[in-house]
Amino acid sequence: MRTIITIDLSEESERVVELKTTLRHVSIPDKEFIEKVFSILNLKTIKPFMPIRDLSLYDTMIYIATRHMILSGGYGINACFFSPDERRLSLADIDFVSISPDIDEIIAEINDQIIKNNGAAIFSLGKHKTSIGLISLNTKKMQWLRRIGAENVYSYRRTILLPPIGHYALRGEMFLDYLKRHGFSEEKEWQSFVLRAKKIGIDRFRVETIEIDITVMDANYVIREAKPAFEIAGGEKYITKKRSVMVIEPKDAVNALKGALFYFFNKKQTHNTVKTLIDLRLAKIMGEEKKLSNVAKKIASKKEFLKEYESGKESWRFAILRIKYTKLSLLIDKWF
Amino acid sequence: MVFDALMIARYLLKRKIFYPDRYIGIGTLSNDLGLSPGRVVRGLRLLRRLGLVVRNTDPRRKKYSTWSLSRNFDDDLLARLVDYGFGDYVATDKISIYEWIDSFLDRYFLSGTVALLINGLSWSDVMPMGILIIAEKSEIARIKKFYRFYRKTSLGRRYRLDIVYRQNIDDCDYSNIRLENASVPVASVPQALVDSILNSDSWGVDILETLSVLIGIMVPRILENSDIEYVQRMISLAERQYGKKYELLLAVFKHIFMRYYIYFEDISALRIYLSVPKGDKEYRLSSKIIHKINEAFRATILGDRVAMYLGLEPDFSSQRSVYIPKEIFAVSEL
Repeated sequence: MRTIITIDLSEESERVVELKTTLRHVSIPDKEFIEKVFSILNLKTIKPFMPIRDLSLYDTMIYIATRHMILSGGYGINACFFSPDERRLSLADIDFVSISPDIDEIIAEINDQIIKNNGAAIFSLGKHKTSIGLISLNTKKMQWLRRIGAENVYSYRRTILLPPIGHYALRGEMFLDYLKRHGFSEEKEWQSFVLRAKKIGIDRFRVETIEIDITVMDANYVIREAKPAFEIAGGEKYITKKRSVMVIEPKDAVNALKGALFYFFNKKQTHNTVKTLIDLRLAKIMGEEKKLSNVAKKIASKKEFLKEYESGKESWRFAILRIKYTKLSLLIDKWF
Repeated sequence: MVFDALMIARYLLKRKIFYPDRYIGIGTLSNDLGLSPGRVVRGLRLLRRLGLVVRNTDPRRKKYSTWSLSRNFDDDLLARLVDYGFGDYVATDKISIYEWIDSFLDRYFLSGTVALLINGLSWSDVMPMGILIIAEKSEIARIKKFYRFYRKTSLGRRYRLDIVYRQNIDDCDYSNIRLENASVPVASVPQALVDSILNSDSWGVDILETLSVLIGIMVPRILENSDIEYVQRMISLAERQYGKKYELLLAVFKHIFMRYYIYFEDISALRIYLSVPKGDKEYRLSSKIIHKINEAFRATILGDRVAMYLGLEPDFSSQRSVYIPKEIFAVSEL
């Protein structure tokens, strides 16, 4: 019989402090790491959750990538093909390609692996129970995917329990809010649990959600070692064991990105155009960058794209790149 | 002997060989029916004891004796008896095939999808192509004889029979269910589910229908009542009766309950998943079973195309596209 960490919050809430996190392939970094990341990136607005988010993504990625899934998308390309100082931050979700259409079977196996690895826990209070750490279907995103006609893409999500790191506000839902959303506040023990939670500090714990998109299609892959985005700040040392994973072959990735670039460019989606062009640096690895130089120059000639790179709402994604290339045009000149 | 007697009676009736005008010899019967002369004689003796046939010639010259149908019974009654024996009566809906089978077998019970149907559980009202019978090993000889005869009947062409032998069927969970003309031994719901899943290639099992009943009816009931015992009961039945093969059942349960969790984040499903024992080795389900589970989820709790459109279920039947939709590259706000 399998076992899963089960914590009755009415009697043993201290065990949450002992548990700390459901991350297992990475260890929780210290606050100095967050500070180091921001001193290097020189960001105006601080997003302290970013370095932790990167490690949460890495932990989830390892579970999935070691189960016959091919890593793809921005996270995969940046984690596997670019040097630490050339990475675009792709921290929204993780994309995979599956050759097998039996995705739920694979996800079931991954959940089993997470349970075996003690990476999941059930919390209970009275009659209410909830779990953290496992992967489940993201029904809302599935609705959106079906609306846009993406029949071959499946979306899942994984919740992760994170402890506070120093005084930094991490990303995700407050642990107590998460429990409240799952009806725990209906229990008569709720108030006493909240008091206890505040006393022992678990009210500052967060539940982060990682989105996982899986596309069913035939794709070629290469084996690469995936590295955390903040390798530049020493993020690698928090990874408990380095792993090689299957990642989409650059040629396939470039073909997919090319289509996306023209689509975004024509639709005038500024941020998506810039980020896709940046990922298309992959073409240079294949010696095909000249085919893209026309569109790259067009982008370099337009103010909105240059501004998006330097100071757009989502420009924090280019923070690592901006250390080396202060302007988008410099990056385009070098790569295209 | 009964089956030989029935074949002889039908032969005589078809050819209207009635006493005293017409008669037939053992050699002809043996040739035409493909039975040994000894079997023909034993069959005729049984019919004679019932008063259905008469012996025509000098008993001291057995070798040359001839036989005819007796005038004691009218043609109609005899024809009905023969029809019953050959299962033609089943076509008239006066008797079910299960009641008919029950006339010939003793230590057995009906299982598979049919047993679920008889127990009143059906999702799509689908009847499998045959019948799964679980019989005791001591019945092998009798069942072999029955099966040889069954293949020649009209029913034999319509319903295929699959028979699984058990050392002692008292280890299994079955009981008599009253049908219109007879009470027949039928597997309980957990036993029928176990037999169906572990004999999924049997003619008596429509695995999609069985899985639909399990996923659409039984699993919601189990989860509603947190009835881990029900699952444990099925597992223990399978372990006792099927030995190593029961790991397939464990894998099916694990798959179904984990999927249920993945779709609905149901903690009861996760708890039952965790309660399913680990097999000796990691058992991988065949893709055929996985696809059937997919279809059963779709056919039942996940609904049909409407749910698929809403994204509540993945579309396993859709053709793979050769590209990744471009919108996927769009970021969601962090």
